[in-house]
Amino acid sequence: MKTIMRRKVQLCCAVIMLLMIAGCGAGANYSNQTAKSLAISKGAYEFNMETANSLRNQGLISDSQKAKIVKYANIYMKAHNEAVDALADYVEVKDLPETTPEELAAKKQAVEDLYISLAVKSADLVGYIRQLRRND
Amino acid sequence: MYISTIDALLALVELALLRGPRFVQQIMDAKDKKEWTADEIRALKIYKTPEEYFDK
Repeated sequence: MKTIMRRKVQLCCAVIMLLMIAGCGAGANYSNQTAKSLAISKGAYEFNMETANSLRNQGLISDSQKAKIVKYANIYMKAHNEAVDALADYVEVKDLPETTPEELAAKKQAVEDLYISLAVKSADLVGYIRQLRRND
Repeated sequence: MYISTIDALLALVELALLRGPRFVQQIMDAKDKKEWTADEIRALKIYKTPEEYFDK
């Protein structure tokens, strides 16, 4: 019963959080919405790594678990930075008169592909650290 | 992958609840921003490697 209640509270919080994130992007253009999401992604990375370090200092993470975290975090960091670069490239050329619609569409597609890749890759780190925290 | 995604979502919620004011402030700062320049976007890159977190 307690577990079900806890789950319900977590799901309610999830809905609130999603609304907060959606609110960040309301009325903004495409690049601004994506930049805001990337700012949140960076905050999530920092928080998860600080949490991992804290668990490590408490002796709650083994060497193999630490190695797995480092592996997932490196993948997350690389995916995040690639998405940031792609968005910055898009913003740089989007208002230039010499940029053709095809070039702009290609750059936007690159941002979207890397953003989806980031979402998938970040889930591995975030999910794994959450699992470790549940076990402590 | 399904479980992992649910975990990630719940972790995001916990992130806001546990990290508290600092994280919420980051979101609010981003929300208030009108137009992001390419340089400001590049400043969102992650520079601190996972190994550096464990070096502390």
